[in-house]
Amino acid sequence: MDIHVQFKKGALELCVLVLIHRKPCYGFELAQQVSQYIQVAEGALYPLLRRLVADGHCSTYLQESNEGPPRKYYVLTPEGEQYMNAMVEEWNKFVSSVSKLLKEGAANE
Amino acid sequence: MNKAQFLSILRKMLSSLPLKERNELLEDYEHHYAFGQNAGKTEEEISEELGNPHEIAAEVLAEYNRNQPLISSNSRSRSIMACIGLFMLNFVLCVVPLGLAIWAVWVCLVAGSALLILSPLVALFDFVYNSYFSSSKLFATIAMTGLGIMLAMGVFSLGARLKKVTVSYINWNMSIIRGGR
Repeated sequence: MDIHVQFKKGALELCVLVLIHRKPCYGFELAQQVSQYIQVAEGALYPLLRRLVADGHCSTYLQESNEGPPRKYYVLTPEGEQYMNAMVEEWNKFVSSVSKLLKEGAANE
Repeated sequence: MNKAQFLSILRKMLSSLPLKERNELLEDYEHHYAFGQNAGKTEEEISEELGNPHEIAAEVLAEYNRNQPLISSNSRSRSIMACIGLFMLNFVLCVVPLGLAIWAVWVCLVAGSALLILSPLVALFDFVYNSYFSSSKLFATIAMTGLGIMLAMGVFSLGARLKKVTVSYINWNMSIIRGGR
């Protein structure tokens, strides 16, 4: 199961980048959206977002709301978009080679 | 687990983080609870979705420690660091003064044995100058010469050993400055 967790962590960053690229999101909203696709401990999101901001892939802005605390929105920076594109490409390559391997394995049996 | 429990575990475990960073992260989670409750969830449900606070804190700390600047492996700055360290060792911890004191003692021993060996000459001078012969003085100085020779042998081997220690200490210093070991 531990390997499973590591998989998800790697995928989480990519999912977050893609979701923020679609439209700016605040933390809670992002957590809701991510959980629609992958089951992951939502708490891991905030350290990840802080890292993305620190690395310059994301920037944030605050928006006051009538209900509850102000929402901190995360936006992808141009560098972040480049980073996302590179990651998507890497991911596709990786997934296709692994599925190819799995298919070959099935054919050899 | 409720909100207060979740946050207090995080706060406790992240105590080594810079205060600003820790407070910002805790605020993120606090807000998450507020949004979740607005959406009609209970604190327990939200904690469940967030996951184990111990694991989250461990991840944050691992990430933080990875990003701490390490002491530069640049050999030049390494040499400077080594020099400062050796300076402290050599002068603050008195290794050099102690070594000098031991060498001074050795020099005194050399002088002492030389005097003992040469003491018959002093007796001879006494005879010539005072024109007074005393056999007891002669025998005493001959005995002193014997003592002096024995002392000189001891001092000689002590000197060789001291020299060995001093040379290896200096070599050790040099090798640390150069970065080899």
